[in-house]
Amino acid sequence: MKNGHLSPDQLAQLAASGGEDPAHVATCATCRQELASMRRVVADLRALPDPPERLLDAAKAYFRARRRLEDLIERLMDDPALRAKASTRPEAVLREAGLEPTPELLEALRGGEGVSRDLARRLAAKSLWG
Amino acid sequence: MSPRRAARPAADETSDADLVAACLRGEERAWDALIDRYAAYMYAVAIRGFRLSQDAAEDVFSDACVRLYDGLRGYSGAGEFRSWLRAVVVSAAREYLRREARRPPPEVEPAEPDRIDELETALEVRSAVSALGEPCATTVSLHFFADLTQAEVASRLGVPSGTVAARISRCLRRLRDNLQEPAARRTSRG
Repeated sequence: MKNGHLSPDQLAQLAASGGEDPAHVATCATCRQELASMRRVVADLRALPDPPERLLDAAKAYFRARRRLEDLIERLMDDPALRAKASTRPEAVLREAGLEPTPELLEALRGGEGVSRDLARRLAAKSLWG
Repeated sequence: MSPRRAARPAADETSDADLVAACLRGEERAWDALIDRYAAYMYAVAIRGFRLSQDAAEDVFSDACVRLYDGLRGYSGAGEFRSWLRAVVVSAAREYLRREARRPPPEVEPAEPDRIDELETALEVRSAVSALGEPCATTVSLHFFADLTQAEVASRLGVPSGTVAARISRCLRRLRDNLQEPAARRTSRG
C-alpha cells in the first residue's frame, strides 16, 4: 500500500477473489474506481464459462461424422455396386465409412432409392450427434 | 469439481472468415478452432440469454451446431460472423422454446437482447485473454473459464498457490489495460 492506496496487485486480487472492500476503498475515489474497473473485467471473464467438455467433443465429432456421411452419400450416388451392397449390408458399409450404424442410417441405406445429397442433412441431427 | 482438460486459450488468430472458408473445404482443424472460439458464447446465449436449464442449453447448443454446419455456405462473409452466429443460436433457442412450449415467446423477447449484448462484451474479453500469452492465458482460463480455484490451478500447473495468485493479479491488470487501450485510443482520436 503506497500513500494509503491499494497496490494494483491488491486491487486485482480483491476483484478476483470477490472479497469485501477494505475500509480505505470507501473513502478513496481513485481506489474505488480502479477496483470497479477490475471487477468489470472479472465479471466479463466469469460470464462465459467453458461449456461441458463433452459438448465440445460432440460438436467436433459431428463435423467429422457429417463429412464422412456426405462422402459416403456421394459415393453411393455414383456407384451402383456400392448402393446394392448398402441395401443388403448397410451396417458393413457404414462401418467401412467410419460411421456408427444408427437405426436411422441403417434404414436410410436399406431404402437405397432415397439416397440423395439431401439425405445427410435430413439425417444429420438425430443420427450423428454423439 | 469434475476433472476437466486444461482450458485451451484460443491462440489461433486466423480470421473468422478464413476459418469458415477452411471449414467449407472440409478442414477439420478449422471447425475445431471455430468451436473452441465460439462454444462458450453459443452455450452462454442459451443458458444466460434465454435462462435455459443446462439440459435445455445443451439441446440448443447441439441444434445450433447442426444449423451452423448447414448454414456455413450461406454465410457470405460480408457481415460479422459473430452476429450471424448469434442469430443462428437465438433461432435454435426460440425453436426449442416453441417446441417445449415452456413459456410463450413474447415473454422472452424484451430482456433477451440486452443479456446477449452483454455476452458479446464478455466474448471480447475472453478473446483478449489469448493475446496475453503464456502463462497468463492458461492460468486465467483455468481459473475463470474452467472455474478452478487458485489452489486447483496451482495443482494442475504444478506451481505454488502463491505463484498462481500473483499471476492472476498481474494478468488481470494486463488484461484490463489491454482492453482499455483501444477505447483510450478511440477517445483520443475524438
